[in-house]
Amino acid sequence: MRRRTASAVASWLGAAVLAAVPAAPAAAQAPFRGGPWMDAGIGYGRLRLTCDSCDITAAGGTEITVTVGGAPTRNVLLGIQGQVWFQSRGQRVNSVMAIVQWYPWVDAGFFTRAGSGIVWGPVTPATSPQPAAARSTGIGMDFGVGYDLPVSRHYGLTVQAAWHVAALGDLTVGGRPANDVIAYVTRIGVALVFR
Amino acid sequence: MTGARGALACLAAAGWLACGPTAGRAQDSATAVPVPAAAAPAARADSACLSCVPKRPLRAVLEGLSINVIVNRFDDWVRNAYNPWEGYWSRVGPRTWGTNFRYGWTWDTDAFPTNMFMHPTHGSMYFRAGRQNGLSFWESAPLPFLGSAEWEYFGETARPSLNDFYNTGLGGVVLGEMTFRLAALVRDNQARGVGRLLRELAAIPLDPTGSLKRLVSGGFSRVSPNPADRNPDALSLQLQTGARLAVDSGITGGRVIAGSIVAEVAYGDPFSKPYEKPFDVFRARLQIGPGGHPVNDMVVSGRLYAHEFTDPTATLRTIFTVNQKYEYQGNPAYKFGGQMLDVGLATRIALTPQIDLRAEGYAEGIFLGAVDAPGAGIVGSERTYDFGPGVGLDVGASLLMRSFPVLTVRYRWAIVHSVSGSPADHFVQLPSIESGVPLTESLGLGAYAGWYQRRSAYASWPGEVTTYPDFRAYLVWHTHRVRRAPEPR
Repeated sequence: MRRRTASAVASWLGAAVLAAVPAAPAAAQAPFRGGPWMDAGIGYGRLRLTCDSCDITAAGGTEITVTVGGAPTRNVLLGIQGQVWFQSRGQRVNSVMAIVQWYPWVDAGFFTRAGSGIVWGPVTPATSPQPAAARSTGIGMDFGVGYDLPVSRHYGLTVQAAWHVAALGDLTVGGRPANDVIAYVTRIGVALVFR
Repeated sequence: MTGARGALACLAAAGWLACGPTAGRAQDSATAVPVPAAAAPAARADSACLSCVPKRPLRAVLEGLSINVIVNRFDDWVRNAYNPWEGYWSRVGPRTWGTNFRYGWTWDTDAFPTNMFMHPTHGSMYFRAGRQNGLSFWESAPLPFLGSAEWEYFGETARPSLNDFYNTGLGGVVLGEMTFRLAALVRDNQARGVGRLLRELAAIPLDPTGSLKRLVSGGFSRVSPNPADRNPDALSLQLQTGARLAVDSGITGGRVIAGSIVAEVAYGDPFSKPYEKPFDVFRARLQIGPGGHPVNDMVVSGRLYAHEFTDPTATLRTIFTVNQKYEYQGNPAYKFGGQMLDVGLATRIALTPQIDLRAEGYAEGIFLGAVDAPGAGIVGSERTYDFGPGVGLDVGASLLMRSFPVLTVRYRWAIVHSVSGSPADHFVQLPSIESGVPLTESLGLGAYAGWYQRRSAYASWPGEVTTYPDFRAYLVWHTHRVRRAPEPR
């Protein structure tokens, strides 16, 4: 499991580096930020699941993120972000969030992203005597950093790392209460950007 | 912690009233003379601006950290802070920090005013630290989240609280920008003597940390340029004092007649100039009354973005608007509040040069809402309410006569899906109507009628409904000022 996770991380990091290479010459262009904006990306995410009466568990998986929005100023983007993290064993954390993406330096590609919204999905808290899957809808937030690598005036690539908190609430797991179930997804990925 | 934040809250509430009459040297609409953007002595002064302060992000972060260290040490060394649930919660160290990182977030069990009013007020200090150090709105926005995260992980022995993070962060942005702008209006760097002192004192409840810095640095009395963006294009202020009759079908029961004071500020006019920057237009409403926490009601809504679809010279105008909103309703009968994002349209029909009809409708995303109900909360704690995300609607229309609202109707609806507390969905609605009659240019009489209803649908037991009719009759003092751009030379 650990080896698979490590190789997945290496793959995603490799993809990010490869994606960055052809973009480098274009990076000298002044970034265009105005009007509508969209990105779609994929990456690796690690889930850490906690609750008041459970053991802490962790699992690796794939995450897909799509964001649409607009740019009110040259260094701020507002949008709606849809995200899915999933693993083959059925756990899934979905979210739809309002997000703000902020570029501290207008002419540079570095940005921070933060948002909040609705989360839902089936997770498997490690309750006693036996873990079981439970579904819930809750509240979540997302914090990340990233770097834009422009390919042309309207297209680019983005490398992102983010921390996602999904508070799924009080669940009933296999007939037993599991209170304050919170899923943390730490993720890294690459995305195509159009603006 | 509660005590320190309570004191701040009370100061802030008092400041609203104190700053009102002096705010921006508001002129009565009686005089109706547009104020030039800069009077002669200030003309040179206004060439400078607050945003021209050098950006000092590190200092802003350190000021936020200092606030946390001072409050934590005050709670431990001076107050010896203790509560039955968490023990000596301010006695922190590497062991408690490690535990907090290992187990992560949870939901706390504090009382409604602590979570929904005092935390946002505290968050506003972190935000203003950014603004006072030359950072823009967006550059300052991460600071209340950072300050809150520091406090939650390192300032208390209890596990970090997700609801505190939301309320301190999002609420801190709204209250921080509002108080930053209002404090700049109250202060006048060009004033001297007693007038100057009174203005500086009146600004303390709005911006206590900023006032402390001014006191230490000599800014309390130094004559210097005012910020260029100190005066909004329009400013309206209403103070209502009167009696309130409320009938509670739920928790407290019975009928209550009490005095109430309402202060309402409209900063900027969405129809007088195009969108420039976040919170160039905002509205704030504060109601103070007896029973429980003195602040019964506080709603602040500021625009983050706007785009006009129509010709600005047209009779009928429509502006797409995104607002960030903070809402707190915490009276003995019911409690509702949260951090929201409103997206919708604002419309104005100029019926005559003196009479406007304005309407607005917003769809609302509730990042984190809080609602009390008989079955809500966590048994054996101060938490008598649930937390959760939700959606809502906020629509309204006003008939304004020379900027005086003679008739206002509103409808507010929200659903909050509980994720902490009872397993429930809470439906809240509040239709209201308010009418005012101007007696003189600045005084009038008014009346308000509202009907709050909460219906709760629980997963494991029968649902329940509470209604709360609320009537007020009051004397209103109203002032409205517009700012005209300087004549071209």
